[in-house]
This record gives sequence, C-alpha cells and structure tokens, in this order.
Amino acid sequence: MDNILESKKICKSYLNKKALRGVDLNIIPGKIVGLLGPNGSGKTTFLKIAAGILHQSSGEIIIDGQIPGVYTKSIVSYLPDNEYLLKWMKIKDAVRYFKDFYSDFDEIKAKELLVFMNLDENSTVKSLSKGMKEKLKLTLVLSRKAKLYILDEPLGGVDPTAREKILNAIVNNFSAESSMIITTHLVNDIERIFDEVAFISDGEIVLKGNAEELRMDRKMSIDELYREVFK
Amino acid sequence: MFKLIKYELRATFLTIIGICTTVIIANLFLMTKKNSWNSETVIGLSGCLIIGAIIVIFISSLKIMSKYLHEDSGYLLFTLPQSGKSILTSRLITALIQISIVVLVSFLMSYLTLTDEISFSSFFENIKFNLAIYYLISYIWMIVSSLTIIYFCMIMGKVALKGKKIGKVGTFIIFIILSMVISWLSFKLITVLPQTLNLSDFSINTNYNALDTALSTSSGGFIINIAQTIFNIIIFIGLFISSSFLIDRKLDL
Repeated sequence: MDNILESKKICKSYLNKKALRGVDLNIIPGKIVGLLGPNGSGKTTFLKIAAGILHQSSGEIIIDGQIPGVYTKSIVSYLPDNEYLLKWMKIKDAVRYFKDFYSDFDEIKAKELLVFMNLDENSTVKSLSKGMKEKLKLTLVLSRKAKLYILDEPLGGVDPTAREKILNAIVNNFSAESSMIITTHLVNDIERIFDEVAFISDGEIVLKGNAEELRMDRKMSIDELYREVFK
Repeated sequence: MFKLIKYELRATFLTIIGICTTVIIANLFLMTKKNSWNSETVIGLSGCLIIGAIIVIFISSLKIMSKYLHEDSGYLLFTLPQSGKSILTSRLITALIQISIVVLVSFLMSYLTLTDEISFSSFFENIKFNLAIYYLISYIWMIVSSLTIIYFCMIMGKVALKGKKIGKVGTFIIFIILSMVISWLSFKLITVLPQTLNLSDFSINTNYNALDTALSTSSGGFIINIAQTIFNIIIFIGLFISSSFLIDRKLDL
C-alpha cells in the first residue's frame, strides 16, 4: 500500500537551533498516528512542513506522491495550534469560506458537527471561548473529505468534557480511506484512538511502532511509555 | 482567485465604509463653511482630505498583507490550495478596488464641496476619451506597480529575516534600497536612451527630454520614454514572479 506521507531525513534549522534532525516517518492510508513529544521537540515544526507552510532545510517530504504545494494543500486538512480564523467572521462565514475554497468540504457534515459541538452558526468567531474556537476549528477541518488530516494539539486548552466530545468527533468522522496525524501532550486522553505512535525528542524520532504492539511488548499504556521515554 | 478577492473585500468592508463616511462628513462640514471661510482654506482642507483618505486606505492595504505574513491569519490564507501568483494577484486587485472606491468618493465629495454649480453633463462632455484612458491606465499602473514593489519587500523581509519585528524593519530597509536602485537605473536609462513614444500618433522622438512628460501630456500628447517604460514593466513582472515564487517555495510561517 502506498504511503500517504513519506518523510526522509527531514531537517529544519533556524539560525541558532536545529528543530528537526532527520525525521523519517511514513503514514499509510487508514491509520491514525500519534506524534508524541514534550514542548520544543519538533512536533509542530514537522506538521507545518507537511501542511506546506514551512520548508525543510534538507530531506524530502512527499504527500500523496507530491511535494507540499497547491495539490497537497487540497488533500490535506490541517488544524493549526493557533487562532487563525478571521475575527470578523461569524461561524457561518467560516463554514462558507471552507466550502468556497475546498472542493472536498461537506457542508451537511459541517452543520451536523456544529449541532454536535453545540455551536450556533450565527455566533461571531471573536465571541467564542478558547474551547469553542477549538471545536469550531475541528468542525471545519473534519468536515473535509481529506486524504490526510493533520491535527496539532486538538485538545489544547479544552476542558475534560469537551475533550471527550472532540475525541468522539474525530473517531466518528474518520474514514478508512483517510489518514490522520495528531500531536498532543494529553496522551492519556487520546491514546485509545492511535493505531501507531512516534515519539519525538529534540527533533528526532526516538521510538515508533504500532500502538497495540508497543503496549503488549512493553506491558504498559502509551501514556506510561511516554513518561518512561521522556522522564 | 475571485473568491479570495470577495473575502478580502469583506474583511476590509468596515475600513472602507469608515474612511468614506469620514470624508463625506468632513466635506459636508466644509460645505457649511464655504461662505464664511476663505476659498483657499476650503480648497486646501478638501485637498488634505483626499490625500489623507488615500494614505489611510493605502496603509490599510499594506497592513492586510503584513497580517498575513506575521500573524495567525496567515495560517488560513497560506494553507488554502492557492498558488502564490493567485494570492498576490487577488491582493493587488483587492487593494486597487479599495483604493479606487476611496479615491472616487474623495474626489466626488471634493468636487461637490468646491464647485459653484454642479454639472456632471458638462464635466463628461469636456472629457477626452483617449486622455481618460491614458490617465486610467497610468492610475492603475501607479497603484499596482508600487504595491508590487512593497509586497515584494514585505515577503522578502519575512523570508530573509524570520522574526516579526526584525522582518518589518528589514522590509523598510529593503524597500528603501530597492526604490533607490530602481530610480537610479530608471534615470540612467532615460539619459542613455532618451527616445520617446507619443501615444497620440505613435511617433517616436529621439531628442525628447523625458522630464517634460507632464507638460506634453497637458497639451494633448501622451509621451512616454520607451526604455524606461519597458524597464518598469520588466521590473514589475520580475518582482511579481519573484514574490509568487517566494510565497510558494520559501515562505515560512
């Protein structure tokens, strides 16, 4: 089966810092991959390169057979870890925006997800709390029928009840033809949905494998393994 | 691309309305003072309003690009399946529309303030079609080419100098240097290649002093320096392509 994402020896350097040091990571269709690591380990940098808004210093990244660009942006649904929606927008404007620009956007699914997330489409983006903004972003991203979903800290700043709701939304809206890569600190909350995990530390993948096999081999949960790896 | 224009216009809708409302109210105020203040003061203030409104909308157009490059809204724009060329073209067209709306309202209000007799029919009767086309093209060219230079400097500043503050300072320095280089080369070209083209009859004059262009235009001729015009077009195309390339291949958020 062809990989939806292939990265070979991806490095990213800034003036005085190496953010990535040769990351090799492949993702096959139908899998949810957890990219786990502490702050500053390079998770977001890697995701930004895959999303096409950051460029690697060396190495190669291929998504659905192409280097990041206009085509890959049309098949990648990216949830960044910031408040990127325009402040003048109402929720319905944001939905229309995504519908206008992404041919794979499913407006009916978006409306169902808005109901599920208890979001009023007439609310303005700037009036939403952090948790509600996170739910809105996730609604928009999951309403696309993308080949690859890239979710950067989808549970960041969200209360435990909302976390459960978000996780259910992710699981219920994930299809077997798609793939997903998720970064998080909240491993315990989210580990149940991972098919595979990759632990990243100081810009390098230090451990990766099938989530279930790792649990069996190490006789511990992914959360416990995370604590072991990064202790 | 047109969808981008639609959303960008929507985003700046309130700014345009705000500037136009201010210009209209200020001109209405000037109208009430027309008979009590001397005419030079009214003309001067009306002119200041036009210049002020244009400066504000021009800066607003630059701020939008700056926000895309330095703030979180860039994540929304630059993750869209749109090429750098498409993003840049939509930004230029949007800025042209925004500036034109403000220019139109400002000049119209200024005309209504200063004229003693409102007569649009005589105004349109006196307009020469070819002169109007010449000024329209010059106006569009002036806005699009100057914005292209500034947008290039902004993108270059962001690409070369990653930090937000240093990127903005760098943009200014790059702009100053680039403007000086373009002006110097342009002046040298006029000196070395003084041939001009009269657009009214397409005649070429080899001994024309290009610095007299404005005088010649007012007397009915539309004279341009051939070498300088070609140079300006090449610079515009070069900066546009370079900016698009930088957005596609080098821009890091």
